[in-house]
Amino acid sequence: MVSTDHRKAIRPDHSAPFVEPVTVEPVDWIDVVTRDWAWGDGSGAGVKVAVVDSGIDATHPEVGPVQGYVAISVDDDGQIVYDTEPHIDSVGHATACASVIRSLAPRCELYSVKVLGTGNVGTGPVFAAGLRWALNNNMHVCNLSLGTTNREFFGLFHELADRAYFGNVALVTAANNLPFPSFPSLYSSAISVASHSIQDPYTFYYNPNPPVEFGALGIDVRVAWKNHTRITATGNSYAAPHITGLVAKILGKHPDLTVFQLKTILRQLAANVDRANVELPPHLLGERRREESSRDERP
Amino acid sequence: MEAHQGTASTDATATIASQRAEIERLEQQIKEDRFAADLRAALTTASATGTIAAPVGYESLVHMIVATAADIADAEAAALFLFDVHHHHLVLEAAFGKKVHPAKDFRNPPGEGLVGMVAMTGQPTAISDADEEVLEHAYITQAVGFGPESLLCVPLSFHDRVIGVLALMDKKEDATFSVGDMEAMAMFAHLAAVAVEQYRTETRLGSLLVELVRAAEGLPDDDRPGLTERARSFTGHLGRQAGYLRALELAELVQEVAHHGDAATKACRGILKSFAAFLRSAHLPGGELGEGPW
Repeated sequence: MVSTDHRKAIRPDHSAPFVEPVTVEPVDWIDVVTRDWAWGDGSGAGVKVAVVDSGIDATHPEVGPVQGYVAISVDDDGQIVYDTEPHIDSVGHATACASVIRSLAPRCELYSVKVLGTGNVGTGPVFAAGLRWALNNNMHVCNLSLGTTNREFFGLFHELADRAYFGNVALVTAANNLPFPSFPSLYSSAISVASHSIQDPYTFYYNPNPPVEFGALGIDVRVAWKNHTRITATGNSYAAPHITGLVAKILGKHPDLTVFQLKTILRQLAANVDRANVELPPHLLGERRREESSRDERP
Repeated sequence: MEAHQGTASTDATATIASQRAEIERLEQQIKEDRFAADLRAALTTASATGTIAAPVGYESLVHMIVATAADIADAEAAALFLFDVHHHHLVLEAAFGKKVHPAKDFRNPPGEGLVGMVAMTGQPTAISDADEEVLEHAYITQAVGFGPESLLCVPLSFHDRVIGVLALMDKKEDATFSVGDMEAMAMFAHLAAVAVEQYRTETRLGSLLVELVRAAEGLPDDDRPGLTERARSFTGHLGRQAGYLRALELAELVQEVAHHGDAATKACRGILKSFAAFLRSAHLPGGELGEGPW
């Protein structure tokens, strides 16, 4: 008989967890996944959210305290430089994203990872360094309202996205609605978000035709901006933070969820998923349900 | 006697060697001259073709882009920013609109302001209801000379890189640009990027050919026929491009005329200028002359 130790030795590392029985906590059945179960009145407390962008303005009243900063740039020798002193927002974009996240998860911990507006010319390496910083510093969620279309970085971002996925770090990315592939929003490991115009931050949709998997409020969104101002903005950049905020709320209540569990929960709670098919008995031919009747009677 | 014959023979051998060296030098010079002439002809043809076959000049092209974009999006104004050659700044290339007073040599730092942000994030963005201060910091006001109330910025992407940003300002009869505007402008920006890059590519190819001619001075003889062949192949490639063939024919005619001296060139220029002026003043629709008695 082959000993356990021997089996460990001959198996590749990635299958080692199966040499010895591994038990995991069961999850609740899908039919009890409701918004109340998922986040209820959760505030995102204890959840670390990195906003990889233009630098959050923590003095904006709609954003509040930022728990950590890093501004990433490239020095004259081409070396990546990390500055952890508090910084300002170069544009307003990060502050806008942070304000949306805060409005949904008021007690989450925000980390400002500034990769734009630090005088950087090439965004790819700096953007990748920002993402790597977030992974190395135990973030739970990363909001990426930016991406790169440069194929040169496909492999690098794919590797980082996989690392995030396997490390249970949710990468919430703004989908690119241009006719070009954009990374990392196209990776299956990311949670890719496009826009809708329903003026309700809690309304989001599931898209059964990926790579864009979810749609959240991203049209005519009132957001915080640079220098304590506010603007009405449209773009997938502002849709992604809505999902980031909801993910933070969910993780605040269920901290051990994996990324694929998060995606399943989001899908289940999406506004266009017909939960009646799950919660109610199968529809019978000729049957007129009470819920449908009452809906029809509404003005 | 024998010594004298020996000296004469040595002199004759030296003379023959000297003459042979001179012949080789002259042959080499002829070869080089022919090679240089070939390359000059290729360069002249390619440059003339690039200029003549281009449907519009660069200024007209970028102006058409902003004017068309403003029209499609129902915008009061539009501006086009393109990265400079070092990708260090976004340069204001063209602006359109009654309120526009474009700043001269305006350069937007990458990642700064809305235009810089869209270039860096690759994400289209529309804003409205913005405080004046927001737009001041967005560099737009400095660039176009007025503060728009609504703004839509979309990236220009070519292949897999952002090469610039198209900005639309002040949506007519509405407070903000719609998602439809954003999608339409994203597609239009793609077309604009293709047009701009094709124009730039032609210019770069012309420059490349000039560099090739210069570099050829120092190439070994064996490499030169290959270079000439490549230069001919390049002009041939241009000739096969749709719309270039007739322009190439014209370019060669002009080139032939120019070879007859300054007087012939001047006459040719005068005739062509008069003809072009007539066409401009007559506002004839495209194709009319081609199908008519001309």
